[in-house]
Amino acid sequence: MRGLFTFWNLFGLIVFLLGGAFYLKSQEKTGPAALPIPTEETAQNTLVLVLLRPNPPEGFLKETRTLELGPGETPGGKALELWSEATSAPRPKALFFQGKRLLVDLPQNFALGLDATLEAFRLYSLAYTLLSTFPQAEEVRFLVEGRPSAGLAHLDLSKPIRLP
Amino acid sequence: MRLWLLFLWGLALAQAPKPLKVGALTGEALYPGGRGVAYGEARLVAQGLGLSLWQGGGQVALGLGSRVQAFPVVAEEARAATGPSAWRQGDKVYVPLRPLAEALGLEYRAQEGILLSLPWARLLGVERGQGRLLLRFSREVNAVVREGGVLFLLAQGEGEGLRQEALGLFLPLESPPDRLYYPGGNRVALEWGPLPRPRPLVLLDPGHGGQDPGMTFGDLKEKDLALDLARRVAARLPGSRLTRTGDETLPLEARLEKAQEAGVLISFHLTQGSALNLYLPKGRTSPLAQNAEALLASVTKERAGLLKAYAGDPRLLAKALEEAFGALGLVVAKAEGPYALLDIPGAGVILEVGVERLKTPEAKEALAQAIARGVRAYLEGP
Repeated sequence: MRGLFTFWNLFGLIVFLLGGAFYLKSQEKTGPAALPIPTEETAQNTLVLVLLRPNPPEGFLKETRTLELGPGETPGGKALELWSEATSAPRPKALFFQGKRLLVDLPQNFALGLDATLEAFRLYSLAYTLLSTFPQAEEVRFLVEGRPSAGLAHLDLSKPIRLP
Repeated sequence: MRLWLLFLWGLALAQAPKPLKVGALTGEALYPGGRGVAYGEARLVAQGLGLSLWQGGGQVALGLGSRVQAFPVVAEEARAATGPSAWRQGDKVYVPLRPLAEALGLEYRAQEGILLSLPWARLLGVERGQGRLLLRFSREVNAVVREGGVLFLLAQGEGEGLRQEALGLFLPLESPPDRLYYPGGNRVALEWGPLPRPRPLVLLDPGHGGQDPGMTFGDLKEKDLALDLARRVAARLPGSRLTRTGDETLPLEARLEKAQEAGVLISFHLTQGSALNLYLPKGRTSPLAQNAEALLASVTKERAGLLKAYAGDPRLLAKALEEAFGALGLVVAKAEGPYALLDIPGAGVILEVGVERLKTPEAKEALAQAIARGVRAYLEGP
């Protein structure tokens, strides 16, 4: 019996017990096994779009729509898509949230074929819609094809637009 | 110990005043503060090498042609050489010689004394124009108007009517020039007659163009109609310019760059129907533009004419155009806002013409005539 209590036997027993303890500990559930998904998508699955539709020469028609966001849809992207459909205007390329500023990237043909009045109504409709839909933003700055621009044809786009 | 004393003696000797030779004149080079920077009296240096000399406002400046070197004047010896600054001692002002020589291209040599010299310049050519004479030398040259002509100091050469003198090249003239200046590039310019009055640039900008047709009206395109109207107006305003003269794509940035120099800018656009719209800027950003309206309202007509070459009042321009259209029985709608191209110092407006107004060549001519009349009335008005 005393022959069992050799140094190497005892050392082996200790290693076995520590290994067992570590295995049991690692089997405890510490959290969800699934990968985390982007915060924006988990935080918001509906969008309240405040649409300001151009109604020249009087001004804008206000309309509020509540929409479900589908998988992979972002509030910004959905807002651009709906505004574009509602106003029959080319879809802006992208919307970026930069603190209290919204950056909207426009395609070069955004105001093609419009006169000064209609261009102003189209741009201000988009800016006011976004500022009303995302009230945390204070101003909208337009880019053209990803770059700051002096404008498209009639309006100065070098300065940001705010709600009146 | 002996070596140490020898070193101190040598150092003291190096900082002691030395003879200074400037051209044909001699004086003394000083070392203020014992920092090893040689100084010479400014007046002696200027006289010896024919340099121009200005003093005042706590500064002294010496010049050779278009090159000028200025030094702040200080009274403390220790501060003078660290700047380097000029040093005032009593009623004399001393300037550091090596920095001066480097700035003006003088020859500087330090041996037993300091030698400062200027090689003689060679005349390379003379250009004669209407009321203007331009002389080019091998280096910058100072010129002095003397009775009967102009002397180019320390210059030599040959040319029609030129005479070599001991101090330089003399050009005899029947009447002294009204202006003598150094345009740079080793040149001296002499001019006679009054200064040309600056003329406001009238810039006519046909909207759209190239890949951007603008609006389409059946077979007609806005870019072509705008260019045609702008050309008709330009024909009635000599000296005016177009931002584009053909069917070319011209970004707003390029138009805006051209517009910065314009005293008057009209950007031509079209719209449906028979409307006549004038778009004006709301809140211009440059200080000149912000002050222009008040300045134009307060100065005399003559000064307003000068000011309009650099800055303008878009409201006054719009009013003049409105009156010119009114004479044809046309009513204009005006709006202010952040329109492109209008945030410039000059007076800029966007003119949008209804396509119905351009149906016949006679109608186009009448409209162009009215626009030109409006621009002239703005430029000639108070």
